[in-house]
Amino acid sequence: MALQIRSEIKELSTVERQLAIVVPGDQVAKELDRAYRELSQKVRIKGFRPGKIPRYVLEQYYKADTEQQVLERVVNASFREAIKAHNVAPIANPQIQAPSGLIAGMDFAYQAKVEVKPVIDLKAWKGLKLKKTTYTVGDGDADRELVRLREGQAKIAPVEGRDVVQQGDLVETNWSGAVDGENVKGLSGVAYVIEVGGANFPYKEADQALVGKKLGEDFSVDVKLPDDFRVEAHRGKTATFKMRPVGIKSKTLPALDDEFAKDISEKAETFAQLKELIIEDLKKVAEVKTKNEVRDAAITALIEGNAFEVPPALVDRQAEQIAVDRLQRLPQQQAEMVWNAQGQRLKEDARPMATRQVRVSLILEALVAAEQLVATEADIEEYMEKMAAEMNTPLKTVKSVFAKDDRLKELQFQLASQKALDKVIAEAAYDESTKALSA
Amino acid sequence: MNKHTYGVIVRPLVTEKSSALKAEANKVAFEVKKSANKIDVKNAVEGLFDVKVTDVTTMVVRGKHKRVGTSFGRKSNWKKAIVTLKEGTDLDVFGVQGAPGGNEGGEAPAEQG
Repeated sequence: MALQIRSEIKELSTVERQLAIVVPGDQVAKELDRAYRELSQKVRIKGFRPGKIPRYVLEQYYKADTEQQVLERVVNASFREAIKAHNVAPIANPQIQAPSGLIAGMDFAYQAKVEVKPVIDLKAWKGLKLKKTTYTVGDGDADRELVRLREGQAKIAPVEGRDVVQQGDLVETNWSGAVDGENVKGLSGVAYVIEVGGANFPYKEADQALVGKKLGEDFSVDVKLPDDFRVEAHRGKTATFKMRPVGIKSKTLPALDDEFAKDISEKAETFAQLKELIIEDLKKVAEVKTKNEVRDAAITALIEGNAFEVPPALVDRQAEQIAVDRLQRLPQQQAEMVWNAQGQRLKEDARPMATRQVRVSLILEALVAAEQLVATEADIEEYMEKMAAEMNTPLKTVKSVFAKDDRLKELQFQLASQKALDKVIAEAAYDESTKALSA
Repeated sequence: MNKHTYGVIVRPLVTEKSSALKAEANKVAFEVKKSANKIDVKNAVEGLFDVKVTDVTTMVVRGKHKRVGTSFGRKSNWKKAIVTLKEGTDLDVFGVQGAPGGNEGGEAPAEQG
């Protein structure tokens, strides 16, 4: 329905507009008439044929409902008319302040607050000064990776014929720690495996006290709790650990030879090949890290260089999206419970991230428009092929996924934004340095 | 208001036909007590509502024959009164308990389709 309305617009901020809308009385009366006419066809009242019920009878029964419906209809239609008339593109549902009732023949006036996308004046995007750290991979990195892989392949077997703990043993220990004579919750273990002299048990004094102890021997040792101990009251205090070793196992590391290489990777035949493979992988990791950091730096610089007001509704929506995405990993039922219990907090946590994402996406959108960047057919094709390869599905399936709804448009937008960011990165000035990956 | 006022009027009749009468000739229809005469009706209406009555016509409506299963029966006869109100006066039939005709309790009937 097209309504003849009067409306005025007021700019509250760069992202908010206030619309004052007046629907003339005759329009209100017309809508009410129409509503009662329709209602008369729909309802049955004893004594009247359908469609022949006079309005005063209908009003007796349905006045509140009908007026509510008409009110909603009038507000919806007039709001649409108003945003069309003022050329406003709202990005979220409007906040409407309307009187609660309609009176036939009286003007109906209300206010609507809408959020719009800000107009972004791109000030800084060309020649941004960015820090670029190129990560390098050395022999040391590969060796460290090899140590890790070797630990993973270690064979653990019980020690026979010896009941005294030595340095380097894996000792199954029953232990518990107490501060001022009171047991601390969580500070205990049963048959807990401690690598004597290793890194897995954080309380060094207790670790070393095991050396020379016999199986089944009870002893206690004083341990200074670390300054970052999780119970604040106990930080830095001395705890008494009661311990009893109950089993000794030894760890045998495999030799670093061709056999080891074959066990680790199907592609490696010799140990030298394995090392090369590892270096290659680490180089890839380093490259991605370099790239990601440059990307992050570019985004930060864009946000800092182009200040504008962010529409709260967009941030809100994005924060909710992030929170929901995080919960997606949980099973449905559990996710619902967590959402009900702490959804608000999750949303608040996600807000800074959401603000950043919204800012950068608006800036890139402006850049896409300013530079007239478009995602070409070839770009889309390339993206889909890459995706198909990654997900191990036929290209046809990927294409059919994107054929639905506005997915293709979204993808085009996403690729164009990506291009814009690439352009920013390509045209930035770099303050370059190198750093070892492991440092 | 005399002692007969209560009970004379059983219920107002709100139907298509009575609505038309009201609109055309300012006449209102009621179901009234079988034993009430035109004067009782006039007094009752004037007593219950703040109106002037110029004319009353009454009629006895024959009860319908009904069948429930194999047994036959008949609804009771009842008296209908059509009251002409003086020009310029008005009467809100919905102000009366039990109105309008047929729908008990004043609950909104169900919408259909």
